[in-house]
Amino acid sequence: MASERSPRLALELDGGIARLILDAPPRNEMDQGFFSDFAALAGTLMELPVRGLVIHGAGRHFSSGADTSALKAGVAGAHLALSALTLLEATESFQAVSDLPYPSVAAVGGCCLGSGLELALACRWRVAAANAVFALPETSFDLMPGCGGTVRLPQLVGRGRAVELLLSGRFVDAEEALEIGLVDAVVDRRDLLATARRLVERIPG
Amino acid sequence: MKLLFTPGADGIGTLVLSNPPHNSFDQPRFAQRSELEQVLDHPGQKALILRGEGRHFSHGADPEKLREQLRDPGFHHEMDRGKELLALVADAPVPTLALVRGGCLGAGLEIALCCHFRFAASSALFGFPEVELGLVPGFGGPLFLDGVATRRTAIDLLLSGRMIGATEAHALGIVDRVCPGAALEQNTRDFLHGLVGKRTVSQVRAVMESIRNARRLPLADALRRETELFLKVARGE
Repeated sequence: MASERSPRLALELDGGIARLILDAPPRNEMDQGFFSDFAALAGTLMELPVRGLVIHGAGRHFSSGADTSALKAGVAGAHLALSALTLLEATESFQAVSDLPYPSVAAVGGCCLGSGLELALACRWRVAAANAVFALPETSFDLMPGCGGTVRLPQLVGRGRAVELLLSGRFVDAEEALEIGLVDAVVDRRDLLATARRLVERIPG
Repeated sequence: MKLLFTPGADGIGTLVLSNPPHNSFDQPRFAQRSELEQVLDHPGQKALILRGEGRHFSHGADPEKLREQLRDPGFHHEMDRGKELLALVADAPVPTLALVRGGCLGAGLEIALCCHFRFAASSALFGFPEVELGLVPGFGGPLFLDGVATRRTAIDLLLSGRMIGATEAHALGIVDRVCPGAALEQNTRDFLHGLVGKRTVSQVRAVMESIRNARRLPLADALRRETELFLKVARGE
């Protein structure tokens, strides 16, 4: 087993499968530093000699996404250029997950909100624990999703459902997420990582 | 067919398809393009309800008039113009909801399927009766239905021409919500109000544009445009 670690992300290789852990408990919030670290890691991921990638959060939650108040301050204030750049960088590094030469799966327990969900949407599959909740709540904070959510959600759940979820910003539990095609499986929390791993292992290397 | 538009004080407008009693389409080009564009783009609008005048949503094309027009060499052109009008509805810059009472058939169902949402009274009826007349739906019905319900459902309804009730339409994924006719109007308003009531016009339009882009633009372009839209909204532009 090899591992690499930034303050907010941990990457472990185990038996030909990479495990990327969003490691800023309790909520694994995505701040500016997270996005930089993630962008730096995206290049590493591309070169990994693995058959699959599992992304999950440290502890109870996947990720609560970006801190919206910081995001708004950044966009409106002096750090304007920086924030726009961060956003582009985040979008591109999430896209890099979609473009990996091996399959990826988000193993989602607890909160999967905002840019956390946008990262999960960039994966090929999503497996949820029964306690998972999903939302793109940005419109409730006078914003909108900015890391691929408005593009990927309609492709997954259809046009009307995407309009409803994006404009209402409402929370979807695991059961509904499965019903509308937002996730591919719902399992017991204890089986989450094993199920996610089995999904990517099924694909021959 | 006349289009009767009423803007809403709360940003929720209403467009009535009016050609009573069945709100039939006399011709494929059922409205002036500019007229429809103005309705969809109405300043300050955040959502639009489509409904029929009176008891029905729309029974679709008038078969008698259709037969006369079929002989016209320019009919193909007219069909294309009609389809463009439907595409305008499908690409609306605000969420659209078909409020359905009574019959919603053929081209009527096709226009309802272009909307983002369909709410129906329990007594509403849906179907593509075109096959019974030796025709097929001509307004891209199969296409739109495919995006909403499964392919199996589309084949079933398009080939059998059978009429289904609101409950079955709901089970098949064609209708989002079914309720007693008396509660339909209020349910519709509550739903749309919950959706856009607290949103700004620019938020609504930005989200809708990005959802549209997901379907029309290459992925990389759609993602880049999303970032631009995000910044616009965040800066309150």
